[in-house]
Amino acid sequence: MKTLSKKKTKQPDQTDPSGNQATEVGIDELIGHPETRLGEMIEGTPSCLKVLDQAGRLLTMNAKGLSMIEAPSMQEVLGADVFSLVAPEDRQSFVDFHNGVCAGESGRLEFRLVGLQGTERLMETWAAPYTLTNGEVAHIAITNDITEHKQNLQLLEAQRHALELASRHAALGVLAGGIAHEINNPLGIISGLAGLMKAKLARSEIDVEDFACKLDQIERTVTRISEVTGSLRTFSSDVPRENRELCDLHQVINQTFTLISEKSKASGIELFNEAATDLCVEINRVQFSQVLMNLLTNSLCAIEGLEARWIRVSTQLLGERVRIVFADSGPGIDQAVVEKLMTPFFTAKAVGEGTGLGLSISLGIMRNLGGTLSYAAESENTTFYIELPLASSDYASNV
Amino acid sequence: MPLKLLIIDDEPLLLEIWKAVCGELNWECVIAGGGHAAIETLKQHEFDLVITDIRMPKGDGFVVLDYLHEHGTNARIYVCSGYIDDETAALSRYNIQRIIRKPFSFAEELKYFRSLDRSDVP
Repeated sequence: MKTLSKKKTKQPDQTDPSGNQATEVGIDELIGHPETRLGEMIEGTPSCLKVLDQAGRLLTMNAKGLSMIEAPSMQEVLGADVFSLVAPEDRQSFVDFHNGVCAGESGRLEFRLVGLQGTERLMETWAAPYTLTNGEVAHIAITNDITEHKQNLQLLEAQRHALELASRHAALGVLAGGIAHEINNPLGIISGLAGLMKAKLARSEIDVEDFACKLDQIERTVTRISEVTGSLRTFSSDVPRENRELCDLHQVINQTFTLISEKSKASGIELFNEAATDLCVEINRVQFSQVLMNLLTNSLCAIEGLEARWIRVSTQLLGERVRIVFADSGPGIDQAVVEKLMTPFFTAKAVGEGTGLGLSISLGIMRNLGGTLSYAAESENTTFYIELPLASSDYASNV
Repeated sequence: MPLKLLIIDDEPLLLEIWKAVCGELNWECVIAGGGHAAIETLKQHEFDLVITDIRMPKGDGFVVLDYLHEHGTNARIYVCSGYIDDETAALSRYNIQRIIRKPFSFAEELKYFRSLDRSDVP
């Protein structure tokens, strides 16, 4: 059985306070004698370093590790069952991981540790097999407390999520009028058709064929409204970013177009969805729709006053990936603006009209989805490329 | 002589409904699917009443309102729209007698038009 001696850290006695002589001092003299040097280094390491035998008993642990498990000394915990220090919900995965290490695998694991005083910590451990002097393959690991780091990450993630949601809601606010119109118009049709039928009924003028046709029209109009409310719901819902689903790309583009169609109609802007209809991507529908919406609202704003007013979305296949080509009738973006395009809080819109967050949030979303968002400077018209991995064809055929 | 109406809306079904309203009233009804088409019609015909939507792709309601404003008209002007909150200020510049909000009730509109004394609609 191999144990490491726990010698106290010694100050080297040959150091010159000015440091001038440092190069002339031998390394042994600076950091101690070779046989004790490693032990001292291990003891002074600001991470937990430990060795467990196959049964999960603690063979040795440095000072940092002892403080993490809240043990007063190595003697108190020598041979102790380490599994019992792992929080119950993570214990099985720790045991499995440990067995893997003792079987010769190296790896990384996150788990919750409950110290002897009851403090819970989130730990990240990097472990490798380690052969003891008796030939037994044990588990050696460096382990760090990542509780605070993880909390910061979660906070950051929550803030990013809130920002995305706020940005979506802001986009909806801008579109509210158009969406109200998009719902009230078909409601007008339903109300009108119903009134017309009632007027005929009142006169006992019942033409079965005519009534059936009007009822069909009412049903179709209801479907039209539900598409709008469906898009609204999709777009405004607060779904976790890890919620991904297989989506038909053409359909997602259509859904986003629905939200913007009234506004584009009001400005005389034509929308073309020329994306191939057989492409399947694994995305978070809401987030992806937000990226499209950001590009759409930017385009609407930019081309409103132009003679030619259109937005065209098409697709190109690049092997395992798809490129969504988002183009509008604008003449391209000034080089000076292009350089800052994706910078948070940069906006080319008038004060109070843009937050300057749209494209930077979109870029973050696309990276998170394993894709990219870029400006296509070489294009004749203002064009952005969105690239995404395609879902495998096995997946696609199941959709 | 029946009253003559021009209805401008980009929703074909709404045009059908307005036609039916006019049918009930025995009024003459001409329809246009957008502002530009409406102006072509206005160049050739006089109307007693013009009802126009605002947001339309092929010439919006303002195109029509501007035309009527510039050329002068005896027609009464009604606006029929699903959402005009963003346009209230712009609309206030025109001589609009009535705003009909979508969705409107077929029966209510019929009642309203029937209650009109013929002299109310020149």
